[in-house]
Amino acid sequence: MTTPLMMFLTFIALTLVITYWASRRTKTAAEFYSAGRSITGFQNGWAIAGDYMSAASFLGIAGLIAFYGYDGFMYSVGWLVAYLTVLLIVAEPLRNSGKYTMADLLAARFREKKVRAVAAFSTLTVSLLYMIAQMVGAGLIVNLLIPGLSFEVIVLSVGVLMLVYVVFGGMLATTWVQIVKAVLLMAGTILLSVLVLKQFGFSLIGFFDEVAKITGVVKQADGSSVVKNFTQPGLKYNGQWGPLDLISLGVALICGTAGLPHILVRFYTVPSAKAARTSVVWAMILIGCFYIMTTFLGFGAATLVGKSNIGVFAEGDKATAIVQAEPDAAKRETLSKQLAETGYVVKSSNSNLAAPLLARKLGGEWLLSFVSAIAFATILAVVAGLTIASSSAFSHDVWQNVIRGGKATEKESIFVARIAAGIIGVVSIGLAIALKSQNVAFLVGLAFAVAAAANVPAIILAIFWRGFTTAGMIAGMVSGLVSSIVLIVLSPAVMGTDGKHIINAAAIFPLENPAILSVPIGFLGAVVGSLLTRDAKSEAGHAELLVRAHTGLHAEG
Amino acid sequence: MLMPLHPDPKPSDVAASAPPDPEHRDQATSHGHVSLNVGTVSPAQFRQIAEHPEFQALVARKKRFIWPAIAFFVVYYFLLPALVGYFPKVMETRLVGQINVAYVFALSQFFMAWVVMALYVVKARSFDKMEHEFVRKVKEGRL
Repeated sequence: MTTPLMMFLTFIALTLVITYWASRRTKTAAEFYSAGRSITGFQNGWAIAGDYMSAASFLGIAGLIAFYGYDGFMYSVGWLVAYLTVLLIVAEPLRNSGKYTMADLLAARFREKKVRAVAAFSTLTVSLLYMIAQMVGAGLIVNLLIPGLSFEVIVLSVGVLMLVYVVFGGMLATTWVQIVKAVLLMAGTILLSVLVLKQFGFSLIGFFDEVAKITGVVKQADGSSVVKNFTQPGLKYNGQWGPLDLISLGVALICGTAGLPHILVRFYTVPSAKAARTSVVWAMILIGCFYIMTTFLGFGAATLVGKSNIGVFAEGDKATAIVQAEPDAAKRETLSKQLAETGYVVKSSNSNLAAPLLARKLGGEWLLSFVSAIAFATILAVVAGLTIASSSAFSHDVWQNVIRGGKATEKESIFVARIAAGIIGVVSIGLAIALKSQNVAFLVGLAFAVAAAANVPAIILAIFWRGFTTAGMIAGMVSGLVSSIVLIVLSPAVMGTDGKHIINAAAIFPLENPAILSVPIGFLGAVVGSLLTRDAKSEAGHAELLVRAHTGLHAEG
Repeated sequence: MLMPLHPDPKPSDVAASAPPDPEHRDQATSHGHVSLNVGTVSPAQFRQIAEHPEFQALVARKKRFIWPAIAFFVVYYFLLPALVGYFPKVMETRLVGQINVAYVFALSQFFMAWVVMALYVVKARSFDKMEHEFVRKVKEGRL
């Protein structure tokens, strides 16, 4: 058995023990949806950090920095700053006024089935988009790390495991799996960062001297090209639309993070609004340290491994065969030089492998296996979090409150949540396998954009604007959701003429991320819808939400 | 003035005002106290609380911190992509060795976020105190 597979199995065994322990403590609805409000602020901080630090951050951002230098680092900054929105606006009011889901906060004011239905639909959309991106990514990354496991086998086992955690262990198991994974991820990141800095005698200046020796070429609008080094901005976000695209991504992060369903449900697992605040504080400390260390990983991979040595690789006999089969003499020489230097040849460039190959360089096969196991654990824990958030939205919002009018028993509610988790699991496994060969990285951006444009305007206006009406809320959510999806379909993330895109035509909307336009559209829809309608009920409801949000009077648990 | 909303006085009050045997306590609760469960507080009571000057002062104090804090961090954060995107030459100015303004400014964003966070945590303690005081008054029917 290979070392990475053994590490995967150890992690899986540990999580199954957690699930068994949690299943014996998960009987009531409050226990299933929110771990019986038994998680402390400190524990929840780790769990939130775990939910947020997905494989896309761990492997994706390290890869972006390894390939594009400074621009990759700039990209990572917004992920932490976004938590200020969560801390200052959302966490405490949400905990004070809700019970299990995001829709609870809105229902506290509007008390209409329509509102719950729309909010649940948006939650399910965001979760499913995010989940498919994670599942496809899981299949591809684990397949790269352990070529013996096929894409389908990986997606299926990730899907089955996440269902076991959620169905049997509920929120308690999901939370502790998340905490264990976050601890592993932090440990791995610290270890790699220390090993990188050690190579440079722990001198940041010496490190940056090496980083500045690496260069990339930027093609300018007039056709000329400029050479830039890795400490200089502009290697990724360049050209006419580059800076604006980065600003748009920033809008998606700053607003969208506060609207991600699997992050929001975390605030219901703690006993009070004060504990919700403490959890954001711990999460921000962890997430900030994590992204700063990601810089060391990314720049470390750029300097110690080298961009041309990062990608899908082959070792041993396979590598020798690839070198011998290369018809071009010059390329053959490059390949054999690569084989002599690194012990492998790169078959195709892939930035996601920057961190794993850095680990291989610094600590050999053992460290590569450890980092691979962390990547696997990360994906598993994040999809479990998404599954429980979406099954709660279906069971608590759609089934319990919209279909059954609040009359379902706790038993029925938990049963429906488990069935919903099963359906969501099967759908996401099926979609992930169907989309195997598509580039689905844009789905994460889309999930953030929808969360930013549909959920966040509704949450903010519900708390702060007295004139907000039911019709306005629905108009805002629908316009945010629809505009995000339409704009991304027309964007270069989906449309392109190079044959690699889903739609083979020139992009109509110039930015990869639609948030800079779709968030204002979401707010506009909400405001216009509210100004056009009168709603005495929602005005009275505002007093109630305001009191609940600020004092916790009536807060559940 | 608000009507009393909560049935559970503090333990010391119970000892002082009512005999400890269960029968009497049951009687005490049946004497018209309103429970604070969801649905039992009328919209009128919510409006009374929402319009109470002490509650409005609490919300105003929170907003006086929260809105400027949001304005500050949003401007500080979006300055980074804007300056880097539109004034790359200035941002490439080196400070120490190869470390340039762009890197230091990006790194400073992390510390900015932590400083705003810490300021809020300190401020929130005084909000908590006001809130606690207010909620106690509401529960004891002393407003």
